[in-house]
Amino acid sequence: MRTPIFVGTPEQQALASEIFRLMSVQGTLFATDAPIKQTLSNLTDFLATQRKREREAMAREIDAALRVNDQVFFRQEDTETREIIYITSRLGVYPTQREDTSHTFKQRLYEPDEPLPVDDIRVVVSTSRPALTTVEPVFISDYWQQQAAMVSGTVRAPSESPGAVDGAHQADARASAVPVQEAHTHPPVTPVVASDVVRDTMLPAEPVDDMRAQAVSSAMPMTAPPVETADEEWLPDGDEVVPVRTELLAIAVDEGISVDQDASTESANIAVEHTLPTMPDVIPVERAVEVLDDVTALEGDEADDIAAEDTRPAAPLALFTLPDGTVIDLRQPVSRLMAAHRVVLEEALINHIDHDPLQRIVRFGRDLYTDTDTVHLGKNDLRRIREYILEIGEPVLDTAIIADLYHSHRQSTTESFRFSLNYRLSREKEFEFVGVAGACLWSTRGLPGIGTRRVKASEMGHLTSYLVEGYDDSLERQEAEIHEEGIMNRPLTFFEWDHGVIPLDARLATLLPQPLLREQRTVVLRFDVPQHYTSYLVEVRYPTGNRGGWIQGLEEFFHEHLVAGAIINLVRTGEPHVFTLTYEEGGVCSDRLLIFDEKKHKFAFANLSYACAVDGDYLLTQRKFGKLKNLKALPMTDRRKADVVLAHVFEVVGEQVGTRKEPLYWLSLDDLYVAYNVMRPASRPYIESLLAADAMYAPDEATPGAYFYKPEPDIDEVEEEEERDVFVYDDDDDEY
Amino acid sequence: MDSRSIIYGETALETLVQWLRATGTPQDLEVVVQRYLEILRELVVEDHP
Repeated sequence: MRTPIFVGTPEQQALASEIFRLMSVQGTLFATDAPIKQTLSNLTDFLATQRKREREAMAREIDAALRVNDQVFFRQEDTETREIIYITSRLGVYPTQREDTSHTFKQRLYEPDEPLPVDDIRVVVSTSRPALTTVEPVFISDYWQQQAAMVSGTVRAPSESPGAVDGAHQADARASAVPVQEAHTHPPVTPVVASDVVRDTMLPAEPVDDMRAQAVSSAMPMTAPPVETADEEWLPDGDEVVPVRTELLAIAVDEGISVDQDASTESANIAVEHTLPTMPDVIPVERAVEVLDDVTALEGDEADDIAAEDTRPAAPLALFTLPDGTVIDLRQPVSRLMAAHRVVLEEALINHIDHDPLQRIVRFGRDLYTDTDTVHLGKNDLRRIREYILEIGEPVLDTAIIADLYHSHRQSTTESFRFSLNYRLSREKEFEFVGVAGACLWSTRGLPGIGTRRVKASEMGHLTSYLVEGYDDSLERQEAEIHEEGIMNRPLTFFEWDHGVIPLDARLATLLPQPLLREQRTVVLRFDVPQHYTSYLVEVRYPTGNRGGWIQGLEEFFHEHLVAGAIINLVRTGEPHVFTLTYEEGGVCSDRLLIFDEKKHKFAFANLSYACAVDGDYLLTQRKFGKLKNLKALPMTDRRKADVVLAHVFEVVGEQVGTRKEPLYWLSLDDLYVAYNVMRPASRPYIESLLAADAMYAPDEATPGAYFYKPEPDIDEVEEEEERDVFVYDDDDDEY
Repeated sequence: MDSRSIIYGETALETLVQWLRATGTPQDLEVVVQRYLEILRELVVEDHP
C-alpha cells in the first residue's frame, strides 16, 4: 500500500496522515479501490478523546485538514442527516463511482436488438378464448405405419376441394386429419398405379355391391376402428378448413380383400384394390382401401392428386436384418427360423453377448448364464485348484475338482456352480481348457507334456499342412462306418509308429470330438487299451491356419506292442473324451524291420518280434525295403521341404535304370508312398501332386502307377560315385 | 414395436437376461436363441393382432 502525499501545514499534514492511517486500518480487508467511509463526528470523537481536545475545535481542525487534502479524502454531506462523510480508499485516492447504464438486463428484455414485428395485436395478445390444440387421439396401428414404407401406392385426400365440403364432411375431414397427417410423415413410398385409383375414384356413388372391390373376398378382414366425429365447435372457420377424407381400411392376408359395408351410409363407398409387392419370405398381402368420402364431388384433376399424394397405411412387417444381411421374419414359427438360420442366429447373438460392455450374459462354450448369478472364485480357490491338478498329474475334469475340493459347498451340486467354475477358470491364464463338450478337462502350468519331443509342434504343423491344402483322401473309404458306428481303423506308417503321432486327417477328425471353445487348439483325450489294461493320454492338436493337425502321445504304446504296418482300431465310448484303442492280434512273428537308431542317428534294420496283424504293404522288412537303410536322417528343417524328401527317396529307394552320367530312377507309387512316409507323413494325392508339379518326374507309360525320376546331372557327384561303392548293405548290423 | 428398429443382440437383451436369471441354471445357446426370438416376436408381432 502506498502512502499518499499530504499538503497543508505540518499540523494538517500530520492530522490528515493519521486519519488516513485510521481509515486504512478500518478498510484492511477491503479491495484497494473500495471506498472507505468515515463520518466527521466519529473522527472528532476519537481524536478529541485521544488528544484531550475540545470537540468542536477538533472538528474544525479535522475538516480543515481534510478539505486541504481533498485529493485523498472525498468530502460528502448526507442530505438527510447533515452528516459530513469522508471517503477514501486504500490507494489514497477515491475514484468517483459512476453507474454504468450503457446496458442493463431490464433494457435488453424490453428493447431487443431485433424486435419481432408486431403487425397485429392479436399476435401478442389474444382476446378470445384460446383454442385447445389437443385432438381426439385416433389409433393408428404400427402395423399400418410399418407398411407405409414397404408398400407402393398412395391415395391423397381431397385437400383442395374449395367449397365442396359440407359440414358433415368437414367433421369427417377433421376427424381424419390425424391419420392423414401421420401418413404424410411416413417415408416416401412408391405411388400406386395411378390409373386404377383414378378410375375407381371417378366412379359415381353406387352401392358397394356394384363396385369393383366386391369381387375381392377375404377370410380375415381387418378393419380400422371408425373415427370418432369431433364436436362442431372445434371446426376451423370458413375457408381455413383443410378438407380431408376419412378412410376405412380393410386388409386380407393371403386370400383377398373384403369391403366393410356398414362403415357409412352417408357417403358412397369405393373400394380400391391394391396388390402389394411380394416380400421375400413374407406371405403375400392384399388389401383394399375403402374410401367413404363423397368422391363424386371430386374433379378429375383432384382424383389424380389423390393418387399422387395420399399415402395408404401398409401391411405390418416383422422383418429385421442380421449383420450378415440375413432377413428374419418373426411371423414365422421359431422352430422354422431355427431350422433355417440357427447357425447365423447363434453366431450373431454370441457376437453381441461377447462384446456387450456390461457383460450381462457370460458364456462358456455353448452354455450361457447371467454374470450376476455366476459364483466368484478367489485367489485362494484358484491356488487350491492348481495344486490339485498338479497333484493328480494330468488334466482333471471339472466334476472331479468340484467333488474333491467343493464337496461341502452348498452350491457344489448345481449346474450353475459348475458353470461358474469353468467360466472363471477359462478367464485365468494359468489354466488351460483341454476338454470337449460334455467333459470339461482343465490343465495348468507345470503338468508334464504329452507326446514326443523329437518333433516340435511347429514342425509337425508344417509336415501335416498337406491336410489343409486339400490332399486328404482318407475319408473316402470309411466315412459311413465312422459316422454310424464310431469306428476307425488304419495302418500305421513308419513315421507314425516311430514318433507316436497320427496326422489328424479327415477320417480321424470325423471320429474325434471338436474343440469346445472357439480359441481352443488342444484337447486331451484318453485312449483305453483293453488288450493291455492300460490307458494313454493323447493330445489332439487341431489345425490352425495353413498348419495341419495331429494327435500325439502314443509313442510308448506303438513301440511296445506294434510295428509299422500294424492296423489299429479306434472306437468311441460313452464318454466324449475317452476312446478305445485296439489292434488285431496275430501270431508272434519275428522279422528284420526298419527302425531309427537315435544313438547313431540313422535308419537301420533290427530283429523285432510282434504279435499283431499287419498290412504287408506297410511292413518295412529288410527283404522288401532294404534300401531304406541308406535313407539320410534328414533334420526336420529339411524334411519340411517336400521336394527334397521326394528326390532323396527316389534316389535311395528307386531302381537306377539310367547311367552314371545320366541317372534315371524308377519307383512304383506304392513303394514311394511307403518310403516317403518314413521321412515324413504324406498322403497319396499329395505325393502325386509333387510328382506332377516337377518336370523331373514322369510317369512310366508302360507300368501304370510307376514313375521315373531324372535328376539334373551333377558332375561332382558323378565323380564321387565312381570312387565309392554302390549301395551294398551289410548283414552284420545285427546288434539290435 | 417397429421391427425395423430391432438390433439383433441388443434389443430386449435385458428381457433375455431376466429370463435367463429366472431359469436358475445355465442354458444352452440354442435354447437362448429360441427364447430370444420369442421375445422379439412378442415385441413385434403380438403387438399387432
